[in-house]
Amino acid sequence: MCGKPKMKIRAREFYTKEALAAYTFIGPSLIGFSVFFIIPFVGSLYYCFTRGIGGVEFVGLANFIDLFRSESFLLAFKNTLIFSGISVPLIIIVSFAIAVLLTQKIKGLSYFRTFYIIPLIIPTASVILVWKIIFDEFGIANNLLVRLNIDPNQWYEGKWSVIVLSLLYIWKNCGYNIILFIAGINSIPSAYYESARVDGAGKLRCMFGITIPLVLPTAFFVFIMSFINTFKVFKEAYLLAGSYPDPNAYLLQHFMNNNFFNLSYQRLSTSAFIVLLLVICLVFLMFRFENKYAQNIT
Amino acid sequence: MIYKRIPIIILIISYVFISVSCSGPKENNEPPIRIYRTSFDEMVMEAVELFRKNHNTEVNEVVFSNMDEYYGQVANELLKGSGPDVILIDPFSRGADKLLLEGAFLDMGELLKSDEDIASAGYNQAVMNGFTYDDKRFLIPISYSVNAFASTRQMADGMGSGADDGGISVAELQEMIKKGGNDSGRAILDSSFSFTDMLISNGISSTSFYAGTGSFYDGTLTDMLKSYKALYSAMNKESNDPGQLLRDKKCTFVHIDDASNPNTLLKDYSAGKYGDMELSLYNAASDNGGTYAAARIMAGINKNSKNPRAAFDFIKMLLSKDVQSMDSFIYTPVNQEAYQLKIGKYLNNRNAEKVAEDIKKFQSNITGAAYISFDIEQILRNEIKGYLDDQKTAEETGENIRIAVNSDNEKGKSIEENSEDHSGDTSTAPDSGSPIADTDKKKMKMFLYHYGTMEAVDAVRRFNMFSPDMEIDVESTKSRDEFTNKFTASVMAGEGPDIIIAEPKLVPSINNMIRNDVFADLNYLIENDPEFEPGDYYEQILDSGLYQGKRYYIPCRFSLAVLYTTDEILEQNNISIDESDWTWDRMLEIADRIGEAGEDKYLFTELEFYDLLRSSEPFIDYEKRSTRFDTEDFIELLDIYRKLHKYVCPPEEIDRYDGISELVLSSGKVIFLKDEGCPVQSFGNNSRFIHYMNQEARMYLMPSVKKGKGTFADAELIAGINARSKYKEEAYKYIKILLNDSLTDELDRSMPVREKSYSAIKNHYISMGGNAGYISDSYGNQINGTAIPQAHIDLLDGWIGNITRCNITDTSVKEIIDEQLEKFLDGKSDSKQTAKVINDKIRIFLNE
Repeated sequence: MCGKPKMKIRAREFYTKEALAAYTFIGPSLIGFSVFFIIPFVGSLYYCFTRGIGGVEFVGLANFIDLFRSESFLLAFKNTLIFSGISVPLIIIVSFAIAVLLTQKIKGLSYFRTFYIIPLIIPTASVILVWKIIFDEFGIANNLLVRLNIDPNQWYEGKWSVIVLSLLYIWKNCGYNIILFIAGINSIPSAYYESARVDGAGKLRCMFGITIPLVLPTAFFVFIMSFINTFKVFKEAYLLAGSYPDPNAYLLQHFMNNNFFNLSYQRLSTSAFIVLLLVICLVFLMFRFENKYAQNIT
Repeated sequence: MIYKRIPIIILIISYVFISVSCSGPKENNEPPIRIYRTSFDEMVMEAVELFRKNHNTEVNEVVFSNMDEYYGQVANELLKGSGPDVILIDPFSRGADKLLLEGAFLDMGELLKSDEDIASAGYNQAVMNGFTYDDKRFLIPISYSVNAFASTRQMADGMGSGADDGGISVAELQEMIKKGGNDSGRAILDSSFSFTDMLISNGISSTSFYAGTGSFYDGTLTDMLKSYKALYSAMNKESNDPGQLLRDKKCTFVHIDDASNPNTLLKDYSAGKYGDMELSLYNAASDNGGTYAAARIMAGINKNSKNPRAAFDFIKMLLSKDVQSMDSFIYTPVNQEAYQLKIGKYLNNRNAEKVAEDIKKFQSNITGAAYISFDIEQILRNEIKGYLDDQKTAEETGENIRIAVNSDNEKGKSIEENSEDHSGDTSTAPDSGSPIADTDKKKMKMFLYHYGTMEAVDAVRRFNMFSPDMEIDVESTKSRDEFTNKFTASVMAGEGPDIIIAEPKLVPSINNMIRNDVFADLNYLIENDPEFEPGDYYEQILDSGLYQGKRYYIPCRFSLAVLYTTDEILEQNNISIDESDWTWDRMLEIADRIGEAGEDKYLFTELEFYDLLRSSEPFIDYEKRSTRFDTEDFIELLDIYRKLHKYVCPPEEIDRYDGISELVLSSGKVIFLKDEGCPVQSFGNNSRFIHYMNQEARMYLMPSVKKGKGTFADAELIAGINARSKYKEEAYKYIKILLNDSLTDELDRSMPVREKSYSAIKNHYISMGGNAGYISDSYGNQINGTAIPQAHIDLLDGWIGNITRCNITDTSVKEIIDEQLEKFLDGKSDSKQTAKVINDKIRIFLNE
């Protein structure tokens, strides 16, 4: 009888101490997140259903209907999906391949690992400068084409513009995915590979039978992150070709940014809301798929 | 334990942080100071900005569009006991003497004595202490100038002059004449040395005229008149170009007004205006010894200022190096550091250094300062003419001057009395100088780019004067970019000014603003206004603000694009223009002919692609959000522009002629000068053509894409009301004042939308007759104005009567086109590709 209350007090104390410490540490982040993300997001939701600057008139779903009638929004939406469709699989394949190579026992691998991280920390403006040196009208790429007696290309125009942008996206974000994949590959117990080799499995068999299935949870995460990142290439796209790039490279980010400067907050907010819904749906589906698949593996 | 304390510590820190950040600045109970200025007075504008940055005292700025209104208001309010806290008097001030005589200013003697910094050697004390009235320091000269005589050492020595480092007095000049100075056929001096200059050189200020006793008029003034007449008879009256007079040895001395100012003589010298000539400079000395500087800008404090200390701080700031070294500070600074900085700008050759040395001597010679007001100068100018023409004696002239001064004084009093009589009407015309009245008033906000919108400033003043319970708070910016950023940011924030007055090219796409409901519909206000007569306005211009049946803005002013040339130039180039078939194809034929002849010649001083777009059928349907830039019409325009672009004179070629376009035309290099077609530009260009080419200007409307389509105008300044404004009716009242009154008074701008205003402006330029005053060329040289020819007016009337469309610049569309055009002109894409890219991008823009 005497021991129980004492234990309760200790538990409460412990609980309070832990909780307070936790709140203290997450507090600043939570405040920042609320002030800079949650509150503005709620504010922008209000814009989705109003008309006029400052939101003067409630218009129901008119902004959504209007948005889906907008040629520019549909073009941007289509282009963004194409861009994601090209870039996300490519970046996953490339980063996985590099990660596999970087987990081999080769001399000087640690230096390579560092090199692949560098694009992540270089400022975008510097990256674009290099990219322009390569792909400008009189850049390295066209120089090479001319030397090979091939007509120079306008890399920022036509379908090439999406490819250039995809390459830039892959180059810039690959390093992050490589780290994730390396972590995923390294977490696979070496006993699996040893057992497989004892059973006569070759490298390819090990790759498809052990590495790929076991690295899939990481791949899901990489997929989600890569997909979200395709919606964040605006800086690169803007610096390469301005507010109005070639129609093939006109992405949702251009649409939203231009609407900000064109004072169309309603369209900006509505399109942002639609993009958010899309990402949430996709993430939800991916998690469902991952859970189901993970169960099958286990 | 530490876990327990962390939250408490964080809470305490947060509390302190929040309480500090939320408490805001300490309550400032100090009364604000009020400063009046004209909209083009950059120096005061910058000084106010600086003061706001460095002092806690609030500054209320009142901006006037012209000096007459500024001085009229300042004088009226000061005499009624209100008005601005700090008053700046310059040589153009009207009624400044009366304010001094009436005791409107505070004696700053004590404030100055207690300030060790201002009493230091860092300032030209001789000038600052040199202007007293009744032995009191009512006004401090913050800038000055010294009259000087310039000569070459050889000529001055040849005269056996008494010229020395102490300068030359009028008496000494007369001595030189007596010794036969004119025998060589050379005049002693040029005629730019006026009687006013002579009075200042002798330390006589305009207050002496108002306070002058009989002995002043009968004695001092009469003697001065006689002295001046003797000198005047020996002056060269042929030219007002001092450099030329000395080079041709037509004068021994030339008078240099404002010689101490680094921005005048030294700048001219440094720019090579005097060639290799070595100048010797002598300050114009008093006959009684010593040298008097002309006080140029003087600062005083309102006797009734609620915050004289802050007003004095403002004056101290005007005396500071920061303000006095500004480019906008145009006279000689009393601050020695600022003076050295300004001098240093122009010391780029040995001769300039020699001139700078001579100018520096003036500093040590100065014994006092004098000031002749605008009113007295006008009287002297009128009265002395008869005396110099031998129609009157010196005594008669002195007496006439006395009568005129007394009459002017009486007139001033009657104005003052009238203003007092109206004091009972303050319910309709409140004293804008009263800070109490201001705080009770409701306020509307307005942003202005101050150079481009003087009429808007004038309308604000009129509105504020006659609105008992409403005031317009103007935030003016001095740069275009600043205006654009401020306007856009505030509109983006869902606020924006109540009244939108802007040049279309300075704001975001007007069409986007319309689509996003930034503008209120003016039709509602117009329909309820029985005074508004649409027939009073040019219909095509007025209706360019209509969009889907709603009127979002009114273009206040519009312009026509015109090419200026002369008959002789056209004849020399074998060009005949048939105005009924004046299309870009014809222009292309002229260009081809010039190209084939292989002459080093250009067609235009400037030409934009927009000049071709202006007259074409619209390529954008904003209502349907469709474009047709990828059509043959547009592709053809691109091709024409690329061909014509070769015939646009490069800016560096124009710079070779000091940027004076007329000189380039005169040289035969360029055929057409592109400019606006409106009375003021017609007057200016015609005057400059006559000055530089001795030929009358011919005006041709910019060619059109197809013949017989009429005239195409551009909206230059638009007025609208923010849809979110709480004071739409008041804002509409303001727009009416702007359209009806202020536009008529603004003579120096493009054409007003109201027919009566245009007629008034047109009549002003017609009625100038032979007395067209002076105008400046693009280099800043003053040249004689020549009245606008009737043929120009007839042409303008015809074009205006034939306007078929008024275009408005869409900044976003223009940016897209300009970006692609650059690639097109660089040969990176052909016309078809360019047209397609422009079409695609603008279509995206329209559908965003």
